[in-house]
Amino acid sequence: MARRAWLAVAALLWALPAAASPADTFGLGARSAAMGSAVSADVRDFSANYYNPSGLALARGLDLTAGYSYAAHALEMNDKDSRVDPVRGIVGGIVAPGSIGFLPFAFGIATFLPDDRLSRARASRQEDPRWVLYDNRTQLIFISANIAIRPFEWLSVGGGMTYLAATRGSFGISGTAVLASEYDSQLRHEVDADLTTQRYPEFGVTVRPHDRLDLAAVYRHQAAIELDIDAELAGTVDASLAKVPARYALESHTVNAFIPRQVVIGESYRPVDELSINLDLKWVQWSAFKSPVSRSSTTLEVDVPPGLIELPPNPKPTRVEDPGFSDRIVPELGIEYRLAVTPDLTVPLRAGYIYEHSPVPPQTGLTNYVDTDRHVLSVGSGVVLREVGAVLPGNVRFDTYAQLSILPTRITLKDSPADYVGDYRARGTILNVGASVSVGFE
Amino acid sequence: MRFRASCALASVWMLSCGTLATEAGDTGAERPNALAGPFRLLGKDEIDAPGAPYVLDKQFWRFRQPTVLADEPGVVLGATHLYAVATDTGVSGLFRFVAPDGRTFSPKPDPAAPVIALEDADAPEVARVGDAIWLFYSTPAGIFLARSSDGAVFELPTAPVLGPGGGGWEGGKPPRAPAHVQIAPDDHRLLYEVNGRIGEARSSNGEAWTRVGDGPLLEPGDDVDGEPAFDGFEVGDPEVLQARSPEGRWVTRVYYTGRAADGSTGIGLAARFGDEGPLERATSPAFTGPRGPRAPAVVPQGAFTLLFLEQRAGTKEDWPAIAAGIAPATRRIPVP
Repeated sequence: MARRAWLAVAALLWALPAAASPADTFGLGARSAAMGSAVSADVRDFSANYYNPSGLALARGLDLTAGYSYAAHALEMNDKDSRVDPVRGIVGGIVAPGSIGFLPFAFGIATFLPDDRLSRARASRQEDPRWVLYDNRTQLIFISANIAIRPFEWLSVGGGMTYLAATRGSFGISGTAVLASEYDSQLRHEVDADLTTQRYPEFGVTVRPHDRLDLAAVYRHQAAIELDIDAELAGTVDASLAKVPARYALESHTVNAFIPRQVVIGESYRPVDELSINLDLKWVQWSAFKSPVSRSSTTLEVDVPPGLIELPPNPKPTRVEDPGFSDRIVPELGIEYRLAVTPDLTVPLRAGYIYEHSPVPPQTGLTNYVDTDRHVLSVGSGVVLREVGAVLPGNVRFDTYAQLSILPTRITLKDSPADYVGDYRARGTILNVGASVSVGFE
Repeated sequence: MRFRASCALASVWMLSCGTLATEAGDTGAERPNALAGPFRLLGKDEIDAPGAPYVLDKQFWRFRQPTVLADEPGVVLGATHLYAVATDTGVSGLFRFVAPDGRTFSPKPDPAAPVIALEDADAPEVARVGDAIWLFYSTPAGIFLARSSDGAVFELPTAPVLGPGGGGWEGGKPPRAPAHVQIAPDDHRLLYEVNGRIGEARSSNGEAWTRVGDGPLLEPGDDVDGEPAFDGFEVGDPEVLQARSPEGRWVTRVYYTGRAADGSTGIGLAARFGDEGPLERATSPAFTGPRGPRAPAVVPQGAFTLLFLEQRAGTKEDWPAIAAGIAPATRRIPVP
């Protein structure tokens, strides 16, 4: 039985579809987001798949969650709206604890499914201003699957995989184009596209040195979601008086989104039974950030009789500059007070704060990765109902949260007076709200 | 039972909040300096006459070296005068043309006779200084300044305001292609081309000019990544204006003709903060094209900038004509 369980989990880990992580930016789950994501040592619902897989082994029973979240950007440059898309979608997951022999064991799945689009790839030129941390990176599916064990009462360990989608594609057009009559043209086209899978692992450990204190450490590996496109147009242009062979080739490679390596250490202290005070410190290796600029090269070969048409020169291949981002330590603070209204009804009150010092260096040169520091203030509440009925020997939880990110003004003064982008000031806010319903069996 | 039904309804509501996808994104955000370029040529629906992007194109008139002056500064696409070198029935000189909408110029000059009737007058530069219209131009003797009260009748000067001389880099050749900007009531600057380079002079009254520095203000560009620069052989035909960055910094922008060793040309942009010191090039030309663009004239129009330049009239039509472009390239100005 135990072997079958392991095999089932292993098969699940390898068979899941492509996915990625907007959780880095907005958090995952109503409770965790309300507490400023400072839950690495205090998580036992589905969001443990992201925050700390070892928390799965602390769940008391099967736990199911479904909800919805919506993040609206109000980001601007020089008082003009940058029109960064909202991020919204269904969030949810499962925690399924059990045991293998005497060893407590659990596995879980968490997902964020955007309802706008499954993914977005947008390649920009190097000098184009873009809110680099908020445009493509958050427009992704997130699916994470993990397992955890609890070999001792004071220790749990977990790990698993998060899945990313990388796109490789090519298309080709060949044949003859008749300028005088398009109906006489004969063109063939071929499209070959692959949505390939990239995986990155995460691990976590939770230690309980004291009844009122939990400590945690988490590692999340880095990942890059890439977009490769090759295109070729080859054929003959029939201009009646002359048949002109032509070939156009495009090769483009883009890092659509980059998830940096992260190490988190956290604590959860409960001075009284009703109160949790959490602090996480997250190291983010932004220095490994890969430029989202498209590395493309094009070739146009047309054997044109002199004086017929004017052809533009082939553009030079893009020379991509190192983004030069810096590693950051992000403090996350969360607090939860569980107000017991009746023995079967508890109202949790939550709040959180995150400070992210921008990893993006001053954009005084060619590149324009727009970003500012970020202060995240969050609040949340909910209802926990126990002993709902005979069919549910556990609890039902409704949770809501609101998270306001304040991005204070950052002024960019260009070194070159002949810079085509010029000086700008960037600022904005992001409002992220959500709600979920959970059912816990005990 | 009622509670369970409520739970189910709440769950369904939360899971059905999805709506149709929106189409937006930050790539549409305009660059703060988009008014500086790069430029694109105007399209057919943006000029109220056939022949776009050309605003002046007649084979035997050979329109070239434009300079432009808006009738009323601050009025967007108001009446505009364009002065250019042209040839009418075998007579060359500097003619004036009028566009009521800022870009559609009548091919009939106004007045009909050249405002400067000199065969060798070249590279005019027009400026409004107080109530007067100043018209600089160059001849083999140097740079001259003619003044007018109405822009149609000018007093012909007898001597150049800037003749041959200067530092060794000028090689004793006469300066040409003047570009004027007024920094303050008694501080005028004149940029000029000599020996394939651009120099600078200053004056308090427009009559007596003193060269600035011992070297050129702008020299031909160095190779970029081992490739010859578009302006690696010569730079000339300067056009100068002042602008303020979104953060309030004064910027002096200089557009110019860049010429490569193979004879190809493009319109370059170089600039400096304030009104002193060397120029710094933009990373790429402000405009390029296969028809030999040159002699830029730039007119700010509020939320966009118009560029007038000289280039060949077509692939097979090798006479010069005057075309118009616009920045930001994403902006369109369809004819009403």
